[in-house]
Amino acid sequence: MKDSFNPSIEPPKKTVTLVSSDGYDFEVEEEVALESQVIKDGFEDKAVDDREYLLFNVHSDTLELIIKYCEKHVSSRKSISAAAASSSSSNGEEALKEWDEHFISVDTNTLYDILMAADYLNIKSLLDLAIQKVADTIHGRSPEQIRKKFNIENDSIIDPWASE
Amino acid sequence: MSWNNSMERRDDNGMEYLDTQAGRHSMLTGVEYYHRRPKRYSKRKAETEYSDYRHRRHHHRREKIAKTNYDNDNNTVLSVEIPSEIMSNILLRLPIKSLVRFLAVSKNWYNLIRDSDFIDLAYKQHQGKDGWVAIKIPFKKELHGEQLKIAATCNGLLCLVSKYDFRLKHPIIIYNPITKETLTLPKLDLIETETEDSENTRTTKGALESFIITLGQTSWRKLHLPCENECEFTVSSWHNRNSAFFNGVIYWILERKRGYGFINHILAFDENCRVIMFNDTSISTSFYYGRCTLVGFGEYLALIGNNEQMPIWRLVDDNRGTWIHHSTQQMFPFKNFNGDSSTYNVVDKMGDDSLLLSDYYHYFFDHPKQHLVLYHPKTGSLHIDFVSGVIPRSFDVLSFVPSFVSLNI
Repeated sequence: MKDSFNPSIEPPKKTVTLVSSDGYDFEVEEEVALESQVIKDGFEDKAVDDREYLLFNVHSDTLELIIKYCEKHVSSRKSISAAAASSSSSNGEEALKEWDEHFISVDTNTLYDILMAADYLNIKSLLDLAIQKVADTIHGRSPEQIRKKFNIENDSIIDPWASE
Repeated sequence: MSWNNSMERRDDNGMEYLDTQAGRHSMLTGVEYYHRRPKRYSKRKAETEYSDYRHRRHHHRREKIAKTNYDNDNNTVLSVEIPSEIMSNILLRLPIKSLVRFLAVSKNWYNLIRDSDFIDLAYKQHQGKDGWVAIKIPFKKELHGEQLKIAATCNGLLCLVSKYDFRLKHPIIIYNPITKETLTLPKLDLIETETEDSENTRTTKGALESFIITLGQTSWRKLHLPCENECEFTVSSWHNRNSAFFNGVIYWILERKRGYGFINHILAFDENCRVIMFNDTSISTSFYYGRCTLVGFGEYLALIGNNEQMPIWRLVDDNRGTWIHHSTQQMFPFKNFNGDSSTYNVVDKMGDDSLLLSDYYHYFFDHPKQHLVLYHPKTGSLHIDFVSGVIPRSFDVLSFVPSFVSLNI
């Protein structure tokens, strides 16, 4: 992957530790963690050497994906603005869109986890992406398919005009 | 726990796809639940790439992951409930057609979609979207088989009257075609009723009279009209679109009885009822009654003439009883389907910045051949294929924003 990290060249960056609900530590760069509005909001209150966040609602599997998403967005934002500064044409935004599209093409449960985590961490762009994805997947379905998909009990008040 | 319920599915392309997606293994969801309490595990990014995370932690899972098809998972069942706040966010992105269908999913979904805040948001969301829907209106019985007419529309509601019922023998019906809710308005007893009814107003022969009714009330209330000589004005039923709903206010074109068909007043129903005059006499000499359309168009109320040039006059209400002529825009001349030049009529606005035009003679005879085109004045572009083919006879065409707004209080 293009955005692989090379420790010999890069200067050491400030990091933040995110702890998943199942007890795994994830050490990520500060700016990546700040993609989350929730972390950003509480960031100033924390001591510099104690930047550890316990994310009780996010499983390590999901957190891994979330971090991946945030890293991608931080790095491509940089490259897009760099391209804009040098006024060279780039299709960075389209490439990112494509990457997003690919990223969110996951099974229902993963999508649900991403959705909940994005909501919990308040990462607006990811929440948007996940919501749109769910909307796209349920768009043309019948009520029966929806019930099956979301595991909803059929307690529908029979609606004379809904069946039309 | 949810993790146990994830289903795995292999299809013929699954493996091949995974091979070309090297490095994506780490993006797959876990399919099992950890019973043992995991040790604290520290990970430095500098040591390895993300794709190695999973591998290092659980060697045995590679094989399993490779089987999971994450793109086509129609069989996967979600085992946890999505919170209603997020769910209504998802539903807001769906077209009204899907929402109507999804009312039958469950009680919970029904309540989500019929929630009044949701209705407001969805209405805003659906405004300005182009689309095309044919609505059947089922009130034969109530109107004694008489031909229906849509008198006005706003907020996703239609106001229906019978077409030639000038004396208002038949009731006025408010109808939401999406929810199929119906409200029959109380009868209005008029002495010598003569001409027009609208959503909330009607006029009598002697003088322009106006009545208003609020949802839930049982009788009409007379409105005082602020014009000096009420007998001077009339609202004709002849023309299809002589009213506009714009920024929460209903506007009606008024005709002077002895004004030779020129128009120079507009009636506005906001919290007060006002009659607004044009400050510019060129407006009244440019527009003949019945030969122009009043629409709320983008940020302005606009009068659009149905003559060859189709001028668009943007109007601004200065709140002192006059209309200020803001700007004029000429439409581009274009050819109609027969190859003749420019014989279109403005039917209604469509969204915020386009107009719906129809063949000219439709207004005179309910001509069986009615074509519709979409026109963007800003760019001058014309979409002839907007509605392909001919609109069936006796169809009334109007710009309508669907809504779940309820008529029950």
